[in-house]
Amino acid sequence: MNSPDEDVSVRTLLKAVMSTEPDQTPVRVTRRQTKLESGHSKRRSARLQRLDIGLMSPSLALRSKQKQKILQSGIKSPQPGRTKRTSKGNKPLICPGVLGNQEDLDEFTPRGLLRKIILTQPDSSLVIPNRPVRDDDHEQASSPGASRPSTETFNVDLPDLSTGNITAFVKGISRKRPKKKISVTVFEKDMEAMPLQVAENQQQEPTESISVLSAGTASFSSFNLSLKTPVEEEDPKNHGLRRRAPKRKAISIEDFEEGVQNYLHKKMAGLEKSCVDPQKVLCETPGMEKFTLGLSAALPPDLTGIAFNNTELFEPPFFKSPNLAGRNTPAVHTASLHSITGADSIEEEEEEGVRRPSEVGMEREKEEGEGVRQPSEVWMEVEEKEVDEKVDVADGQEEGEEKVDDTEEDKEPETDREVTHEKNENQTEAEEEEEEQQQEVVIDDNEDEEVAEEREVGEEEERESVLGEPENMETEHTERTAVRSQIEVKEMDVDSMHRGKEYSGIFTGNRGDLVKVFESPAASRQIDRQPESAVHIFQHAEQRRASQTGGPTYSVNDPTNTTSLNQMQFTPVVEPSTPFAPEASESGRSSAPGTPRESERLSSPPSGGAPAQETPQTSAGGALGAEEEEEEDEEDEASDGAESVELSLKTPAFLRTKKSAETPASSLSTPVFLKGKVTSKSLPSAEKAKKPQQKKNKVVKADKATGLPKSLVTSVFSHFAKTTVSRDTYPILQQCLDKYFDRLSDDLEAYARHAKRKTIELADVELLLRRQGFVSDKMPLKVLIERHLPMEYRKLLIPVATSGNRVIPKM
Amino acid sequence: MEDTDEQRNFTRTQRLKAAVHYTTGLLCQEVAEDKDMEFSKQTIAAIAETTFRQCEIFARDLEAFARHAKRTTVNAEDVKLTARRSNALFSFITQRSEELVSSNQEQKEKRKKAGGKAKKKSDAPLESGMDEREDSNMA
Repeated sequence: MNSPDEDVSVRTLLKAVMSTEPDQTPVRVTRRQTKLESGHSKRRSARLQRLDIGLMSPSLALRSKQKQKILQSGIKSPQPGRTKRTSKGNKPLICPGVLGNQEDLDEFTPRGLLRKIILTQPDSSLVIPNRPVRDDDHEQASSPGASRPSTETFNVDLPDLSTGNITAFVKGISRKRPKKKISVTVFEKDMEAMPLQVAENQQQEPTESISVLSAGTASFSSFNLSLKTPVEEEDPKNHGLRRRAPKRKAISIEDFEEGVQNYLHKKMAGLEKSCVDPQKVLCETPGMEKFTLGLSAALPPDLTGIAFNNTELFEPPFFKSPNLAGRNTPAVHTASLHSITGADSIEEEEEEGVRRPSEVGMEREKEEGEGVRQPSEVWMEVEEKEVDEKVDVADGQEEGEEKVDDTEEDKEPETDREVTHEKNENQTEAEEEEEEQQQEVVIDDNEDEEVAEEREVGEEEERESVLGEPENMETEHTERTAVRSQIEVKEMDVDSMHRGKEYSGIFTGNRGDLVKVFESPAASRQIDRQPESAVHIFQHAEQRRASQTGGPTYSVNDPTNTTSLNQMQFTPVVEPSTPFAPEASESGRSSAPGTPRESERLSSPPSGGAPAQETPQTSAGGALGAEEEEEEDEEDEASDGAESVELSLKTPAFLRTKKSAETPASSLSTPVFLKGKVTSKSLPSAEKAKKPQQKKNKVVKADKATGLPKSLVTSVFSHFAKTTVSRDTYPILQQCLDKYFDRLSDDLEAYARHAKRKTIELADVELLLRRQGFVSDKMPLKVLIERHLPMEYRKLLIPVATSGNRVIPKM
Repeated sequence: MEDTDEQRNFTRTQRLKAAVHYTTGLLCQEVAEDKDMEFSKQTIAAIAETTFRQCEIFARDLEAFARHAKRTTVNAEDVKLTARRSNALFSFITQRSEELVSSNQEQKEKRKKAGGKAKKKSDAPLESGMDEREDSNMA
């Protein structure tokens, strides 16, 4: 037969081809043909198959093709089909080329086989290892007749085997085929690839087979392609993942990490912004401040303090939390202040520990009963205590002394708290009585002297500051002690010290976190703090004096202190505080962004509150109110710097329970207000806030009009300005702040007087905020509180119901 | 209904604004005559608009002040509180209020002698007159 002859020649060729060429996706047509052929082979006898192969009569070829197609369709193992490609050899064998084998079968003639091979050459066969088999098969097939049948048989078997092999061998192929149906993308890709292959095939030998193959390959090409490219194979395998799964996986991890980070950042940012829980947020990233409105900055310090402090609602008796919170203490102080009104101010003092609550509680009680002084005194003691713990023995002595005095003074019942509390209480109460005593006692140390002087000057203020300070105790405490030590060392003027301390103390203490935060940014701030602590003491003393003198608590600390503090504040405060500043400044700065607001707020409330009533309750009345009153009183008395007074008032007031609510509100309003209006204004207020603090710290010169530390003012201002700010702006900022706080306090006083009260209350502050536009029908005060105040203050302002039908603070 | 209410409010607002504008025009005319200067229409319109908005603010503040004092009626005290910023205005208002109070007292005394109701009536217009003056001053 010619075929055999042909086969021989062709066979050899085929053999060679088969052996050399890798299994390529057979021209679909070929495959089919092979399949068909195989099918045919199965049915037919070897001879027939051979004949078919050999003859390759068109009819036979067609038939074979059809059969192949059927087979292929029937045999869902596309791989075989693909492998069949290898049908180049038309070897029925070849596993990969089961189809190819079939195809080969179709093309019985060696020529056809060759053709197929050629066609399929470009195609890569999935099944490669089958070569040898192919060759064998091919050889067998090529062998005239005999080969056919063998091939056929092979085909028969091979198809099965191949199919099986193919499936096994070329997983992708088999999968692909079915998958093709499923995965359009794969199919499409294959389709795309196919045309290329098909084109190639077609170009090579346009034949029916080719066309068929092409058509077939069109469907299979994808498979083939996929087969060729293992990657593609995989894709079709997992059609669901195919497209991007691998890539995704590769990137997903990275993206995931990024996403996680972003998420965290957002969380933090969001948290910070909300300023709801600075504690939580702050801890995370200092950089979060950027995301937040800046309160976060303020918050961080609070957080630190808070983190270190107990997070219980009620501070445990243990007090004197070290400067852990530094910044936070102010908040705590304020919280304590707030609690004063609420009676259970302990919560506030979580940070600071027992003292605060005691103080606060005392404050509250005192407010109700006695006056602001007590709280301030308590504060003072608390602060003093804190300071003592922290700083030097001298400080401790002072505090101790003060404490003693306080205890003596504070004979009033608020002995609910522990001894410390009692002391504090006593302080507040005894302040009035023992102002002088304290002063005397305090005189031992330099600080004492200063304290005494301070006391004399601004007892009320001190008290208020104390009140406020307790909250800020922690931070202030350390600062104060530091400041005090500084003061001692430097032997600053008592007045200045007074004022500075008062201011610082009041400011920092009262404001609590806000203040501290606000101040902290400035290096002086920290210094102020320390002096503030001392100032607190002084103020406390002053308050006591005031109380003793019977002067209205109104002027307790702030007026005199603040004024003096304000005026002298910055500079003197800065100086002494410089050494300490580094510590505080850091915290301050960090909190600066947040603090500015706070400071502003603080300043605002004090200024507002000053005129108001605080008289009887310098500190108790409400941090703000007291502050304000004090401020006013002080202003009246000292008239050094209404601003400073206001500032000092603000701080203590802020800390005070009731007033604290006001201060935060006002401070809130101020910052927002300031922002909205004039940035410079905010700074002045901040400066004012700083001033009082500074004054407290130093209490050296009441001349310092700017109560806020310069660093704080500039940092806050630059933060909101979002651009570089020259240092020349500072004096102007201070002026603006002073004016702002003056106005604020005046307004608050007017409001309080309008309500026929003598104490600036929360309602006054809220009214102020409303007038400023921060509080409206759409924006209630509570929302502002929640948004801008740290947790401690919030607790003071917004009653929270806890288990046991407890409401904190007590309404 | 809501639309009609809105329309009514809007109409009312418009009419009020027109009234304010007219009054502002008259006042500006007086001042122009005094100073021998002229007021452009835009100026008058701006002043009128500003006045109108400021009146809203005043009203809101006055209400807040009254509520702050735990009252339901806006008082002269509230007005004074509103005007405290401007010293001149504040002094003027306080002065007027004092005069008003004194005149009221006098009238009261007279009424006591004469009769109760008459006094009350006289008091009411007096106070309202004073308030109007104050308001106009403030505006």
